[in-house]
Amino acid sequence: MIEITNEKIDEQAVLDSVKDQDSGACVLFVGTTRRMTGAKETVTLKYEAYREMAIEQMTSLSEKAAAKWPLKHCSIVHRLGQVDIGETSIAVAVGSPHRVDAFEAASWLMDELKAIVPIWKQEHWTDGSSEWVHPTETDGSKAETSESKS
Amino acid sequence: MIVKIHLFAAAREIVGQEVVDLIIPDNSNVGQLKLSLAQQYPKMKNLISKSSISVQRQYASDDSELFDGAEVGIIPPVSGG
Repeated sequence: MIEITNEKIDEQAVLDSVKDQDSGACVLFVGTTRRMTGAKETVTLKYEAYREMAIEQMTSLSEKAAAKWPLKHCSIVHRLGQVDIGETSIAVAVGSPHRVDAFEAASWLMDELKAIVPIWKQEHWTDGSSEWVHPTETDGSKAETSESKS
Repeated sequence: MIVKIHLFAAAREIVGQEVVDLIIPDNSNVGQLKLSLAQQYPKMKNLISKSSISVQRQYASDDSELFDGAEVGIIPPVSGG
């Protein structure tokens, strides 16, 4: 299951998609929208994607993960549009015969996804401002390349 | 030749459009395209210097050759997840 959706993510469905009789270990990672970034408080996040390229990159990552670890199944679902605090923006699930491989593969998939898949989030802060998050190597976290009052 | 530039996130907001046609000299490569873009959209210069470029939805290096009608993406540093 490789999807980009504007709807709420059904985490159970993502987990179920990697379960089978040969997978003794299923790992589900769920990323949710965090309220605080340092001292700043988020009201909501908006995500956008280069949709076709993102799907191709996510598919490629799942194939690479299946080549690196003995996975039976691999699912990645990312949500776009407005995602309110505490809601799920990403779900990654893998199924494997053994847990070490499943944990490693899920962690690797998230690291790679955050580094290369063309999806961006825009923070909307409680002070009414918003900014696209475009992390750079120099600051290690994020750079404020676009800031606007809304 | 003309290439289609797809813009996202901060780049899209700076230009004010999702897709723009850019006329570039024949046989241009990705590095030359970045220079043309920075000249045409000075406000995007800083962001372009930090962005990756895709051609036909694949990440491309500066020496990648472009062609007429190519689908080019400006990919600012990504922040999915």
